[in-house]
Parts: sequence; structure tokens; C-alpha cells
Amino acid sequence: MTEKELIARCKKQNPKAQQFLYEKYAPKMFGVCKRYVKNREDAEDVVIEGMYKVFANIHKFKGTGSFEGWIRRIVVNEALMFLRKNHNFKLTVEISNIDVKTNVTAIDDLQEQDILNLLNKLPTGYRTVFNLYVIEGYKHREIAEILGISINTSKSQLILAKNRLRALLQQNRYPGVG
Amino acid sequence: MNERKHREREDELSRLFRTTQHKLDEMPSRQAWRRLEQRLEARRIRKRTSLYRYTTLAAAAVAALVMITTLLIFENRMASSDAMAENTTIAPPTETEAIAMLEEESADEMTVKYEVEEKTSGDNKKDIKVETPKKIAPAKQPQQPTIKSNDAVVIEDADDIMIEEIEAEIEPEPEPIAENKPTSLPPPPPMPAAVKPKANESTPTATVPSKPKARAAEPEIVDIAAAEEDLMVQTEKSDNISKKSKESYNKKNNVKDQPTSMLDTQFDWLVGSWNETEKRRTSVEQWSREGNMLRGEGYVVENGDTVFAEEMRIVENAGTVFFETVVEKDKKPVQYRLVKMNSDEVVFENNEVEFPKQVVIERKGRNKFQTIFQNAMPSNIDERQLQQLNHRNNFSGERAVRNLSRSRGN
Repeated sequence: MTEKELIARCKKQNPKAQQFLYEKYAPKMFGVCKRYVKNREDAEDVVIEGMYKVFANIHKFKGTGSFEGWIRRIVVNEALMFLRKNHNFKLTVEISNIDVKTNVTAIDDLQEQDILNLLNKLPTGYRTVFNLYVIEGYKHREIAEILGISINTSKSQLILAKNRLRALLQQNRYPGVG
Repeated sequence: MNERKHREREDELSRLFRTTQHKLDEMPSRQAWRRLEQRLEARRIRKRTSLYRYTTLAAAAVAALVMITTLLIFENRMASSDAMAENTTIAPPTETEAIAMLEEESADEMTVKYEVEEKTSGDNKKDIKVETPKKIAPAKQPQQPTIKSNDAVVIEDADDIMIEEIEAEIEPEPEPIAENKPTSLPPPPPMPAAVKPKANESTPTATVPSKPKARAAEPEIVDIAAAEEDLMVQTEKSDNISKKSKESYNKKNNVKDQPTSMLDTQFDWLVGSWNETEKRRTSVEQWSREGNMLRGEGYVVENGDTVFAEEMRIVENAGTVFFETVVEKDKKPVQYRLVKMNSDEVVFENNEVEFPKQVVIERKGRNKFQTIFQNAMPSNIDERQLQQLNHRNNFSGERAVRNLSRSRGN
């Protein structure tokens, strides 16, 4: 079944096609959510909500761009909505100035997954801007608009996030970025 | 130099996270899909329901349009026929006017005698004016009754003998009384075959006031008292009266059932196995007697898998009959009280729940019945409840219906 056929069947609310689509994209989207939302259970809730919106709005997908990109935007948006409920991004500057001590244990060679887990050591504001800029490829202007913060805050958050990550990597003797 | 290195490191850091981002990919728990699946299923049902709603509305609109059109056509025809009749009466003006005066007088006499008739046949006065001259004028006998149509029979000047005859015909008619009986009573006895057609044929029953009803009730009360006595004697003599003979005896003599025997007499027919198959779905209900209650196990099988199961009960408690079942998933059973019962329909009600407020069991002959979950008024049903109710054969906005036929071998 091609992606086009799969989308067409999902537009007709075919349960099997919906399950197939879910199984294809849910792992990636769960990975995306885990980078934004610290708690695993919360990340799972965000995936469910995001995928539900994908199925509910699939008729709006015109097939012009990447389907995975379209799903990803919905899921990221859902993750941001979740974060907004529990976090005020406008207060990020003040919060981020507080130096959070990390408890990363010294490991000689960090595994790749452990590097990603370092993201969880970042404050929510740092992590969100880092993810949106570095992984999703948004511009500072867009991030400022999405999070309701100024462009300068977005820029400073990214710098602070990177500095913190570097420090964490050095602390864990990760080669190449120290 | 340092600045350049710093920029490179930054790029390297970004690249590191970008290239390893898929390492976090992982299938969510199986529970996650089940939760999503349930929401999608509920959405499908909701869509289907709204489609039913629109279809029902459209059908209702069409029906209303047809009714209005029919009424308009009917009124037009009536108006044109009236106009024609009036034209014919105008032709010989002097005679008809005189006779119309006579007719009016006789009609006035009738209105004194039959007040109810006056209300129903108000329009017919006109007709009398028009038609009677032709019949009465030559013979000069205004006492002859004139029948205008099937629906409106007007006795112009019926004498006492005529009225007595009509009453005598109506007297054994027990139906109107049975309808007004309290809900806990057993269904009315079958109407005597000889009386039924007469009542239908002679439309004066509609125009004659409630006098005959009172007369008809008297012999019935005597019958009930006598029958109860007989029954007492019989039960004392022998405890081995079978349920069936008792039931038929009660039916024959119109004996009021004791509340304790209601399950025996009124719901005995339900015991057995019932099913309905439509496409790939089979609904099954099995009703059995357990002590002082009837227990119904319902389940729905789709493609060989049991997709739904429920338990229903009809219990009798202190003379009141209740229907119990779960109407919302994972919720406690709801109890509905018996509020109406006749030979074809049993209505249980509970106004404290949002939906359904009524559970109706409608009997369709010996081997078919229908259970309807409904509200008298429209209501808001939530997704979880929709899922539960969708396991009935025919679910629309305000009614969840399951049609069942008696299984073979029962």
C-alpha cells in the first residue's frame, strides 16, 4: 500500500488503515514528544492526542508537502500546548538564570541515547527552544511567535541551552564537543 | 581563531543532536493504541449518528411537506365541493330557505341533547342545510337520520329508541376502560369478535358521550369479584393449578393479577432464546427465570468474536416490577420502574438518568419483540454511552432499538 492509498483510506476512516498509519509514525512521534516532554506517560498522552488530531484532520492534508512533516507539525504543536499548560515561557529568562546543578554520573563514553537524555537535564524553556531551532529547524522569529516570547529571548535561550549541554557533555567526558 | 572554533563546536553540537534524534524513536505502549482506537471508534459512531440525525430530519421535513400538501389539497376539494353544493341550493331559493330554517331548529334540538356531538360536527351543520331539503322536502320527514360521510354521521333527530339501540350495541365494549386502567393492571382481555366490527362500523360511538362506558363497567366489576372468589376456592382446593391454566383463567375472566404473579403472567413469553442476524453481526438474548426474577443475557457476535455482552434483569420488589441493565460502560446497572403495560407494550422509566429515560419492550406477535432505549425528549449523549448503545441493531439520535426473533427449537 502506497502512502497515497494509505491516506485515502484513512480519509474514509478505515480502522485498519488508521492502525497501519499509527504503527508507521507513532514511534517517531513518540521520540519527538520525549524530547519536549520529560515524563514518559505525559509524552504518550501527547502522542495519542496528536495522532487523534491527525486522523480527525486528515481530510485537510492536500498531499502537496511531506506527510510525515505534516504529522510532525501537529504532534510538536500538541507537545507545545501541553508545555504551555504547565510552563510559562515568558518567565523562562528569570528561571533559566538560576543555575541548575546536574546529577549526571561520570561515564567514560556516553551512548547516543544518553546524549539525548541530557536534554531532560535542561530547563523547559532551554529545551523547547533548542528542539525547535536545532531539530525542527524553526527560525528565531517563528519560535518567538510560537512561544509568545521575544526574538532576543529565543536567541539567548538557545545560547544558554547549548552552553549547558556542552558543560554536561564535558562533565561526562564526551569526546569532540568539550 | 577561538571564535571560529566555538562556532564549529556549536555546529558539531547541533549536528550531534540532529543525527542522533531517531535514537529516541520507540513504539508507545499497546495501551496507547487502544486508547486512541477507542476515541476513533467513538468518533466514527458520532459521525454515523449525526448522519442518521440529518436523515431523520430530512425524512421528517419531507413527511411534514407531504402532510401539508395533502391537507391543502383536501381543503381545496372540500371548499370546491361546498361551493358546488351551495350553488345547487341557491337555484331553488324559496323552498330551501324555509326547509333550512326547519333544519336549524331540529339541529338545535340535537345540540341540547348531545353537547359533545355539537363540538365534533360543527362543520356539518352547513352540510345539513344543504342536503336535507332534497330528502326531507318531498316527504316532509325531518326525523330521518342523514348520513353525510363515513367519518361524520349526524343523527338529526334521533328518538330514544334509536339511542338505546346504539347503546346496546356499544355496551359490551370494554376497550376504553381498559386503556384508562392503572399501569399495574394486566392487559385488557381480547375484545369479543361480534362487538368489534360493529363499534367500528357504527361511527356514532365517537359522537355518543361517555354514558355507555359507565354502564359497561358495572358488569365487569361483578365479574372480577366473582372470579376472585372462584379463584380463592380453587386455590384452596388444589395447589396444583398449573401456571398456564391460571393465566388463561385470568385472561378469560379479566381477573386483576396479584403483583407476585406478574412475572409469571406478563413476562413468561420472554423466557427462551432470541436472536437477530444482520450482515456479519448477530445479537443474541437468552432469558431465563431465576427465583423471583427474569435474567437476560445479551451478547453481540461479529465475525465470530463476541464484541459485546450485557446482563438484564426484570425483578419484582414489593409489588413493583423493575428492569435493570447497564446503559453506560463501566457504570453500575440502572433500575427502571414499570410505568405502563398492556399486551403488546411494556414501558419502564427512570427520569433520573440522562439517557435512556425509558426502556420499552414491544411485542410483535408471538415470536418477535423489540427493546427500545429512548428518551421522550431529545438529549445529549456522550461518547462512552454511544459506544454502549451502538450494540443495539438500530441506533439513531434518540432511540436504540434491538429487534429479536425467537430462536429455532425454542
